[in-house]
Formats: sequence, C-alpha cells, structure tokens
Amino acid sequence: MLARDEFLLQFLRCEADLRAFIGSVVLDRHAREDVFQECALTLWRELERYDSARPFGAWARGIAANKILQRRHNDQRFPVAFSPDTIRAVLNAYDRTEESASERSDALAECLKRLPDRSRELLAMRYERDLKPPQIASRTGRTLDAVYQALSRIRSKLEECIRSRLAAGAGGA
Amino acid sequence: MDGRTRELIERYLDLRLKGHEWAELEQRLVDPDAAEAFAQATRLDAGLEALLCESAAATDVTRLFRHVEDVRETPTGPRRRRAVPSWKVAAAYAAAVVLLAVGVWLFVRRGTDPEKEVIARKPHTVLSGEVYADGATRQSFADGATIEVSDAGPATIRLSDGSEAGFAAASRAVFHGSTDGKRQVVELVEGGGTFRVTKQKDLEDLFEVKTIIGCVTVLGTEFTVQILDSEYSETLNSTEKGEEDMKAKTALMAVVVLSGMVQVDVAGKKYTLTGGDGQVFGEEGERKGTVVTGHVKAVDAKRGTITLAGRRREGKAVEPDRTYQMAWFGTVLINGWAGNLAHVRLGTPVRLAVLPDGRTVANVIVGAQGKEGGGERRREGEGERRREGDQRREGEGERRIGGEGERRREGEEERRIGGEGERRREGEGERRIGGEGERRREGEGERRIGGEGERRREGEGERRIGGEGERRREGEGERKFFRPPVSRGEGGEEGKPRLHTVTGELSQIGRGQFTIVRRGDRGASSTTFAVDRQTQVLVQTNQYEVVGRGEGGREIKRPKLAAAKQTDVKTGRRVEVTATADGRATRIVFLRLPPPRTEGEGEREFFRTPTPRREGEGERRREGEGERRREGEGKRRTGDG
Repeated sequence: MLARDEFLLQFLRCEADLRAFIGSVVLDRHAREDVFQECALTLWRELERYDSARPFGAWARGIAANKILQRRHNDQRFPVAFSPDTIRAVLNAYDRTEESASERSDALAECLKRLPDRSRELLAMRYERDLKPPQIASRTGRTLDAVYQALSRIRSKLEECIRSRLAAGAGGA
Repeated sequence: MDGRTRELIERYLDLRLKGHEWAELEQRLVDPDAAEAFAQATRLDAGLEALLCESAAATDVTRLFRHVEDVRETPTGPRRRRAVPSWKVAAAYAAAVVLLAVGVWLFVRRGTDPEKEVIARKPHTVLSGEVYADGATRQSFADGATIEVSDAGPATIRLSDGSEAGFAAASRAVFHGSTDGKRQVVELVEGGGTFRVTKQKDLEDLFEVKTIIGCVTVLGTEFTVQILDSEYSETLNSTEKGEEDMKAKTALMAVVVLSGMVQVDVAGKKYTLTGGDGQVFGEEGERKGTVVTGHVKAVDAKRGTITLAGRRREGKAVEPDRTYQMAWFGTVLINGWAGNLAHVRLGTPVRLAVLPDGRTVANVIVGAQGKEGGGERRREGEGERRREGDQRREGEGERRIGGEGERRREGEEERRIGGEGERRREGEGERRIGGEGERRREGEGERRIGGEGERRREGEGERRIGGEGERRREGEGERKFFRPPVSRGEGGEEGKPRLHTVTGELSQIGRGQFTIVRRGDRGASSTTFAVDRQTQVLVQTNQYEVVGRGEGGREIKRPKLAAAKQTDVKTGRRVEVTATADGRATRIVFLRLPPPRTEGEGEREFFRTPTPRREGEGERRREGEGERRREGEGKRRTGDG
C-alpha cells in the first residue's frame, strides 16, 4: 500500500496525463473537470486497493475510463466522443505510450519557447485566451482555413521538435 | 499512420469533425498506431492547454485531498440524526443566478424563524477558496453555520448531499440544512455564488436558495446560484441571534436560469423560469432593467468597469460620464462574438443591458450580433438611432427593457430584459416567458431575442442556453444573460411539458440519442437529444397543404408531413427537432432541401404560393429540377424584377 505522501507524489506525476486522457474522450470542459475530480477522489479513497506492481498512471486512467463509461451509462447525454470500445482502445494507447509522457511534457515546454512569436501568439489565442478559430481568424485577418492550417502546422512542428529532443536525450543517455 | 487519420485527429482537436467523420475516426482508432497517434496528439493538446492556460487545471488536487481528509476526521457532532443515503447525480443541470443590488428604499423584514428544525447531516466541504465560519477559516462546516467567503477570491463548497456551491468573493450565506420539507435551504445574505444541485432519490428533492426578496426553488434539476451586492445595515445571523429584525437598503434579485427549471417565489407570486430565462425581481414582483447606449470612454478589465462618455452639446457637457460595473455573469459581445472587457476599444459605440440597480451591467454589446462590421439590422422606420452630439432630453438614452404591459410609441425600439405581456408591432410575433409557454405565429421567419430586440437569422436563435450535452468551452459566450432560448409555441400549457423547436443538421445517431449541429454566423454548436418510442419521426413530402391565409387572402402553404422511412434517417440531413426542456425529442422532422436563395430575397420562396409568370419573365427551370434553381438564374430574375 502506498503512503499518502507517496500517493500524492505519484498522483502529481500522472496528473497531466490523466487530464489529457480524460480530455481526449470527454468533449465538455466542465464534464472533464467533474470526471477528473471524481477520479481523484476515488483514487484517494481506494488507495488501499492499489497494486503497486502496476503503473500508477495506468491505474488512474483505468479508473477514469470506468468513471466515464459509468457516467455515459447513467446519462446518455454525457458528452463522450466515442463508443466504449474506442475509449478502451485510446486507454490502451495511452498506457503503451505512457513511458515518454513526462519527458514529452518537459520537451514541449522547451519546444514552445523556440516557436516564432507569431506562432506563439496564435497558440496563446487558442489556448490561453480560449478563442475559437473563427474568432482568431477575425482578429488576425486570416481566413478560417488559414487559421486551422496554421494551428495544424504548429502542432506538427511541436511534435517534430518533441521527437527530436526525446531522440537526442535517448542518444545522449 | 496515413494522412487521413492525421487530418481526422486534427479536425477532432479543432472540434470540427462532421457527422460521418466521427464514425471514420472511431473506425481508424481501432488500429493501435492510429490510437497511439491520437494519444500523443491529445497529450500535446492538453499539454499546450496546461502550459498556456492558467485556469486549465481548475482543481487544486492537493487541497482537494486535504479536504477529504478533513471531512473524514471531522466529528459529525451530536446533532447528526441520519447518514446521507447514496445519491445519484442527475442528468439534468439547471443554473440560476440570483443578484441582490442596492435599491433606494429601506424596509424592515423579520429574521429567520428560530423554531425551525435544523437537521445536521454530513458537513459541507470547502473544496477551494477561503471560507470563514465563526471567525475562523474552515475546511468544512455543518448545517446551521453562517459562512463568509474571503474578499481575496471565490470559494467552492461541496454540500453534504453532493451539490456544489461556488460563492463569489465576499459572499455570505447561511446553510439552514433540511428544513420546511426541503432537503437544503441556503440563505444568501450577501455576495454571490453558483449552485449545482444534484438530484436525490431518497431525500426531499427540493433545494431552496432564499434571499431577502424571495426564494428560488429547484424543481428537481441541477442549478447554479450566485448572489452579488447587498447592503444590510445589520447582520443577519439566524443561528446566533435567532429572531432578529433586519433592516436592509435594497432589494432586487435577478434570477437567470441557464438550463433546467427553477421556481421563484416573490411577493406571493410564483414564477417558473427555464433554461435561458432571466428576470429581475423587486419586493413587489418583477422589475425592469434598462438599455443604455453610448461611446466607451474607459475600460478597466481587471475591476470589471466600463465608463461611457457623457453627452456634449456645443462643447458643453450636458450629461456626465457614467461608470458601470460588470456583473459576474455579465457577457461581452463584440459583433456577435463573445469577448471580454479588454477587447472593447475606446470610442466604440456600445449598448449596455443595465440591471435595475442602475449600475450593474449584464451585457455589453459592441456592434451587431452575428454580423461583422457593426450596425443593427432593422427595418426602416423602426426607430431612430441617435448619434453622439444629437440633441436629446435627459433620460432619453435609456430604454426600458422589461415590465408588464408597457406601451411604446410607434417607431420606438422595443427591448426588454424579461417580463411578460409586452406589446409588439403587428407581424413581429409573440413570445411569452416565465413558465407560461411561448407563443409564436406560424410562418414567421423573424424572431426577437429577449433583451436586445434584435432579429436573428434562422438557426441563430435556436441555440439552447446552458443546455445539456452541448459542447461548449468556457467563455464562448453562448450563455447570455437575459436571453431566453427562442422557441416556438408548442406546449407550455399548464400540466404539459414546455417544448422548443430547433433546426440543424443531423450529425450523429447513437443508441437512444442523436446530435444535431447548427451553424450560424457565430460558428457551429451541437445539441444532443434523447429519443424514445414516443418520439415521432416525420419527413416533409413534395406535396403542400394550406395552413392559413396571409395578407390579401394569400394562401400559406407548407409541405405535408408523412411518417419517415428508414432510408430518410441519415446523417447530414437537415432536421427540425421538437424537444422538451430536458432534451427529450418528441418529434423529428426531416426537412426538404430549400431552394438556394437569390441575392436580395427577403423571404423564403420555399413557402410561397407559386404565382403565374408571364412569358419570358422570371426564372427558367429545367424539367425535373423541381424547386431547385440553377446558380445565377435567380439573380437574373431579381435583376428583371
């Protein structure tokens, strides 16, 4: 059984990934937050049942997936993007790619700094100010398609940058 | 992973997947490589959100866990009589906003009845923010406590029954617990808060929020409540002082229901408000707000204030500058898009929906809604817009936007925040809010929006406010204060469920539910409806039926409806859905494709009676084309005509 302090440490380590998983299948921001809170409380309460042989992140995501499916079962209008099978497929994919998650997160922060100002501004509009692409288009004087393309290009660039950093890190090690 | 999968993932992240693409993405995610790419893409998206958006991680988990521990360790006390039975989170969410604002008169009111029964249950837990009770910071407290939220910021409290209350900074409330046959009574004394109330199976269902003006009772749905300013000359603390006279300067209460349904009891009258309804109440009942127009002189986004320049005539100030405070739930709309005060440019003409206290703003509207470039759409002669520098008498700039049976002169703009029984010009349609159902004449394409008197394009007014199952990001501006959902008058009679009708494109069909997407100038929004065996599925046929007579005895025709075949049910088709307030579809009509509209056409020709044409005049149709027109032909017709 994990001590409470250790649990907290483990939880904080996987928090971002847990949020990312919930966010990948739950469409509404408030619903995501509800699921996350519910999941966090369940993890805290069910700590005794945690099998330390299993990765903590996978356990947390498994509980989150169950919470999502449970909510969907109880409420047909709960805003879930996919069917239970697809949610399980996504869950497995998250488990398979978990190892690199924390390194990816660090790499992302670094890659973000290297982006040109214009791209950073676009990301700030999208994520910081939470503007929708049509709003960004009207503010930047671009067409909607141009905004979508620009966002897509930035994401690809970041993905490439993360990969190269991870590869460099692995090579260095 | 192929390019198409990447494209679908990108589209998913941007929330722009179309109906069939959802299924396609699902299919592709079965492939482990695609699923891994999806996982990495969504990780990146979440990572960006976490890095760039401070509010992304809204829950402070460390605090959350600490509070859980506090709750575990807090003794329940001798007053505890029973354990809270297991509860189930209800599907429906409702939201109500209660505002107390400073008024102009004094009145005396009795304090809380000391003999009432207070049943203490599990303590309520403070999830975030600083909350004081009995002079000390508390992480949990029991029923009967008077709590005060720190001036520094808001606080969220999880109630013993699983409901949540988010209080604004400097709020004060008394948690009375289970009294008067209600499972929880919260008395809002000062400040504001948001309540999300869960349904319970075993306990009494009613949840009441009490203010000095009246009570807001949740009729079995989740809801949100917030209180703002109030100025009490003496403190009300029912648990400490018992019966105590209380003097208060003010008394206004604004209730806004974002979704679901609440009942408001004021001055012995009962008002039922449903999703999107907004109403201000005084001690005597409904009150009115105003719309103020002017040019922005200063904006303080941090403090939430906006100052309108005073009027000048011949270089002399005839009206001073006026500063207004944004309500916590206030929205800023810039050319129809949601924004915030920081986006409002100095010198721009704006309209403010001001609450009856005269200083709190519920809506700041810059330009026209849903149309770039500003300027309202209005008919000729509907009322003159005043420009800066125009002569005007004092008080002329403020238009009343609420109230019962208000008379207006011909040519005046009609606006209202809430209330019933307003007069309308002929042909503008009638709509009633406040639980009495909504009426609307058939065949009318234009609808008025409560609060702003503007006309929306088809589809725009049909967005449900705070509706369940909708995908919406915070701050998107679709929840608009005092903007009831525009509905057509079906049902709403006493004892019958209130129905509303929305039109959109069928994007997804699932087990027991379907989703429609509506697109307007402000982007797309989707709504999910539940279906059951009672849901009627119809399709518009090529035949017409006369549904009435218009001006000059002209027949008004509509396509006949027939029972839908299985082949009619497919995504991508436009449907008209009639649904109850809780999102259950009672009728789905698959619409025929309307003919393309030509430039300058005001009306939809779709429902017009065909008029005989002279040779060589008007549009030419190919055989078999039916209602459809070739591109450019309509324009030629317009030019001819």
